[in-house]
Amino acid sequence: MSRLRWVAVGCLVLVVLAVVGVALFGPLLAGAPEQIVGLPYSGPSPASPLGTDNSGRDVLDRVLAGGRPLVVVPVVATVLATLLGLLLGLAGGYFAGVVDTVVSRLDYVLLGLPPVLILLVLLHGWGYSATTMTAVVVLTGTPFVSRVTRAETLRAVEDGYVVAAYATGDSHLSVIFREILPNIIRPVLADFGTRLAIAVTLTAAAGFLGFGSGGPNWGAMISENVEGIRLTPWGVAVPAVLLGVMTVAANLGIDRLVGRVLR
Amino acid sequence: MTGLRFLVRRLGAAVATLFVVAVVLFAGSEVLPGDAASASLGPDATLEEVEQRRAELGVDRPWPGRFVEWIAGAIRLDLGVSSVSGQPVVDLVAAPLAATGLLVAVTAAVSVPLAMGLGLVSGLRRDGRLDRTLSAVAVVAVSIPQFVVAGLLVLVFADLLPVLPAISLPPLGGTALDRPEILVLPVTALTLFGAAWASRIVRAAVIDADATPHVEAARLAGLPERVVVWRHLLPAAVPPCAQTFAWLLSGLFGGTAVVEVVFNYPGLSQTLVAAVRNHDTAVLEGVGLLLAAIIVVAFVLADVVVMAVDPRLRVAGR
Repeated sequence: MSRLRWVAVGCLVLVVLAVVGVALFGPLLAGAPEQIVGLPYSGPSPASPLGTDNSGRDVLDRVLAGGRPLVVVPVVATVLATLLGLLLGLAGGYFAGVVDTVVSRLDYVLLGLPPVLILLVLLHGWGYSATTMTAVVVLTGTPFVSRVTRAETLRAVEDGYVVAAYATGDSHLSVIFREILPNIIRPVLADFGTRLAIAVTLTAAAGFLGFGSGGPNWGAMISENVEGIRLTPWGVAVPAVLLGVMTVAANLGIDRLVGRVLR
Repeated sequence: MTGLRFLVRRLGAAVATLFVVAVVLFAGSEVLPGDAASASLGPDATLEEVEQRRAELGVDRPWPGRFVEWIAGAIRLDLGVSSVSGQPVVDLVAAPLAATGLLVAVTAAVSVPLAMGLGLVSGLRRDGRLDRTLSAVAVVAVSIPQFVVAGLLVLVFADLLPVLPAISLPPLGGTALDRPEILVLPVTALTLFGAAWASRIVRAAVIDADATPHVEAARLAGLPERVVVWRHLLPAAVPPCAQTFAWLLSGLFGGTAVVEVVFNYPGLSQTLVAAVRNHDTAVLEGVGLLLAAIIVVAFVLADVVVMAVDPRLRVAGR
């Protein structure tokens, strides 16, 4: 790679680290995100460098405080969805039979429904909470993982090393976890970042649709402040750009990273 | 004959899928806690009032009976009544569904040809400069949440360069088509995602089709590139894409649910959000089932397109 490209990549990495840093540690720096400091939709001033939002609260404080819910829950939930999808896909691909039919059918249904609909149904039943959001991400993410895992497992089962391991008397569990899993893990993890980006999007969408925790949230800020965009754009622009950088970084960065580590 | 049998089997599978969706929707919204009766009466209602309301709504009976009733009604296009307004769900959702349907239809009419074109160009000139640029743009466009894209579009085209309306309210008594300019930004937000995502899959299908022996044979026979692409490559590439466009439709209905909010567009999004907020179970389930039905029909149509286009299936059918 040319030096120019290294510099460009370096800058991008710095930007991403800054955004993730703001999301994780911003709440420590945020003043009082719920306090009304001025008129709604005021422009930037020395006291509020990014102006105020639709209720006259400080946009900078809300930006600092509003990223953390979009990092923690999506990461935990995506890891859970990956583990569950791996287990279901391995079981379906290896044992076939009724389990496989039921799991594939359910996958197909869940994948066909718009994720936002699943989000709304669970919000309706449970209300917003970290558990609800985790369940939404698991329900929408697991079918992806289990489908890929199942397809890769079906291919691996035919391979010589699996047949050989089975023939030498290894147990099913040993064949699955010692022989098949290491050989299929790469394609399964290859789009972990994509699924994480979807999880972040869904979590932000809950806030955006007005079902967040009620506290500051980048997704919610966009819908709260879009009506005053002509008076002051910062309440929409800043959370939108941060959220965009975060999802693109999750999608591109993590998938590259996983690809490199697993090579 | 085979074709007909194929179609019947697909329709059977579609009905089975819809049934599973119905079970999932019902389980998600009724068997789980969350009480429409107390929600619609507010926090000051007495226990007796809530019980009476539950009886009125018919939710005091055990759920298996209600599920059977709901399904039986849905088959006759009767989705029950809203627990908030008392209006039949079908009447309540007709106008928003039409508005959202219009938005989705316009977006599909733009994105599908765009995705086919971009995917074809990228696939035929694989790893060329254009392909690499498009691929970078596509990854970014797919990753960013659609409401973020919508928000940024409003920022640029309604605030910085005020050329388009930030709010997409159709005129009273009319549809968005009476003021087409209000559709531009929402359709752009949805298309950026839809075309970017679908063009990647079309690209992969084109690359696969390009590698098949019959396309190679057509090339070696010295047919002009135009003929190779239109007569031989595209028919082989369409079947895998047809499914993709059915997925796309599902994605667009999900996308409108958030994009409409940015533009205040009077579509299903408002209906759904209000239903969740007011614990209006019948509306939520009804809209969910209608959306699922539309998506399932799209998948069956995709199969029909595949059957019409794929020469192998056609020969088998005769």
